[in-house]
Amino acid sequence: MGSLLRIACIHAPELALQAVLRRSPEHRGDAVGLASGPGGRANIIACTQAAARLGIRKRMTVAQAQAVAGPQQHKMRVVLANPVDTAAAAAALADVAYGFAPQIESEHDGARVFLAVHDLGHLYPLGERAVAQAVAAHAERVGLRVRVGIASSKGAARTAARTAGLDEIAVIPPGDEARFLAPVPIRLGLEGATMERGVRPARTDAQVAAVADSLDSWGVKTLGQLANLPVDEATLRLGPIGAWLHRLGSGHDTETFVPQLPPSALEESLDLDYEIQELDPLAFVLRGLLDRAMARLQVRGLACAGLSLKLALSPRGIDTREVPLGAPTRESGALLQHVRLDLSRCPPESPVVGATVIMCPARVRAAQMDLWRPAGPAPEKLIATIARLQALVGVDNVGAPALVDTFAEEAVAMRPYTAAPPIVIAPEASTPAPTRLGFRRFRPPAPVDVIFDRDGPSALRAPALALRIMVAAGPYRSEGQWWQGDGFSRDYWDVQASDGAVYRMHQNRNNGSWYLDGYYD
Amino acid sequence: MSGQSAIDLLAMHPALLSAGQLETREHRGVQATGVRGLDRLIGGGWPRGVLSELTGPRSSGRTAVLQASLATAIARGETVALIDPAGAFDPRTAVRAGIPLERLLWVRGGSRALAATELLMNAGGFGLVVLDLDETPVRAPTAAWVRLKQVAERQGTALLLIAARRAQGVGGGVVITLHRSGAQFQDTSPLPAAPAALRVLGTRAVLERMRGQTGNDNAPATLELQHDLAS
Repeated sequence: MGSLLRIACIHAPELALQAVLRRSPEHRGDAVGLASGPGGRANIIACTQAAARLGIRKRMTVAQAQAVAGPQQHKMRVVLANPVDTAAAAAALADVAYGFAPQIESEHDGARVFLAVHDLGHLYPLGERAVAQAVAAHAERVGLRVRVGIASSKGAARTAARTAGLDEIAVIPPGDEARFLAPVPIRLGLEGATMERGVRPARTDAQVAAVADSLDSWGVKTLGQLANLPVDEATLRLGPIGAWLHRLGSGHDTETFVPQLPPSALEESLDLDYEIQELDPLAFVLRGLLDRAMARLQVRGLACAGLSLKLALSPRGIDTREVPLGAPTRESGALLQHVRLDLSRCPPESPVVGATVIMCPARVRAAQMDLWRPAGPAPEKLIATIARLQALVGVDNVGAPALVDTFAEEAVAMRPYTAAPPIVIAPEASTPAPTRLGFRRFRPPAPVDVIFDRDGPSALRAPALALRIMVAAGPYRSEGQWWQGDGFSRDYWDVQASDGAVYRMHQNRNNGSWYLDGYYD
Repeated sequence: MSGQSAIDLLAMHPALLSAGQLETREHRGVQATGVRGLDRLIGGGWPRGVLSELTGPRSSGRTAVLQASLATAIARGETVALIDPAGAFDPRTAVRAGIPLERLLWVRGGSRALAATELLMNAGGFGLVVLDLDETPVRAPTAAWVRLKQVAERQGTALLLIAARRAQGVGGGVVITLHRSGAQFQDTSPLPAAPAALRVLGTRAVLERMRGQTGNDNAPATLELQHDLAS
């Protein structure tokens, strides 16, 4: 692959049907016919190979297709074309292309995508066929079957993709366009004519059909035959379409590549035919959306840095929420955990009849590991694990402990835990320090009955505890929060009890009740 | 024994180790406890890749050893976690023990402590994970402990179980029992009416088991746990 411009065309045939199968992959092997609308009079606009084997063809009505299927009608499934699914599939196809090039061009309602591949030689030294195979493999990962054509011009690449053979890949070597395109039928070459942009206004399908009929009546069946005619004569009789078609057949088409930048967010949507009220079935539906969206991010080598959820509610209304993520992740399982937690914390007010997942893509930067320090958990895995732990034990029970600015010594806060960068060990940290006594706290403090004599507390009793107090140190007075109205005033005692343990307890000076705070350990 | 039958035997008995695995296990190293006497007693610290146990009654110093171990591991740049079903962790004394709180993953496990521990350790990369059962009654099948032991081995994490008494019998690591040896109170002021204050808790660490061996000849370590009077 040299510096010569080389364009790849990724073509997803029957995109509307593929979009439906992408949403419901369990029907991939089934006989599925895509209907243009509801009812028996709607037309079949696409069908799977299994449906074709039953005799179903495009442009049949649904009723005709059912009649043709006859006794095997139960095997046939008729589904409605869904613009939401088709748009998502087109966006997924664009994501496949963005995985290989920073700028792409999309046409034919997103079913065809162009990208420049002439600078991929260092990544794919085996050649352009390897590029095409990688593109097809990436498309498979987002649930699409594609044909890939690579050529030196856009029109040739489009025609190559359309005529790709059994392996669904066609590569036209530089300068070989005319020879490759010579046997291509005129009607196939004309497919791109209505899509031409930039140079001249697009033609209508009727104009294109008229040109095809004219050429057919003249006995010109292939692009090669047209290319052998004088270009002036073809232009005179057929107009601009004829000139364009002649250039294509000659291998000199001049269609402009109009690049588009990737969108800032990625969406996957789903419309439901039924209402969902419970969290589990909703999570099941969202799982599919998250998986598909994450697959699209992954083919671009990106991670999800932000997640928004839009739920269409019945009978009306939209529930929009931002799902907080700790850090960019590539695991849809972790995202689902976050979504579940968010939904369980704040369930939708009405039944859900549709959902849209919006992901904010981000590039995950590789971190430089420290040669002399242990590697911690992978950040993505840590986030996923924390989400799962939160689901297991509760959101408020996982995190990093934090001190609270109060005199109440039992106060503790929970902050989000993030994998911090390695700390620098100060030289004095390596010197041995005396071992500090720990404290094990009862949360909440346990109410106890205390016998108090003139030397201080002499015995304590709780439901499962009856102890004499051997040594008592105190009282240590602690007061606080009186300026906020919920003040406390306590007398603390450290006592060594007859079981040998050293407890800390306090008396509430407001009501005289005693509490066991914990024990030194 | 033929090669094939040796492989079958290893497959049937996961507790058996091949010679190669044994060598790897020995070289995984230890996670220092931060308590000098205890480190000497157990050969440098809690062994990585195994489940160790620290038991003892109230005020025997388990929390002090726990906090010292966490602080030492964090100071070495390790990622550490504490699973604490009772929520008994006290951040004030932990800070005085040298634990940077923001670097400690604290899980108040409730009744799902074992499941939380297994989930956490499966993430990999943790240097020390402490499951602090204290006096929390845990009725877990032996299989749950075996799974924990296996995940610790797979991830190379030092897993420390703290309990009032032996909670599991799958063995594999160090087992230490702490015994109280008295508390010292001291007057904090020369004034006669001034209150006394707890100063020192003494404890004695006995090595019950180490790397599958029982009845070793190591003398118990005597530890002195100082109370920070600023509390």
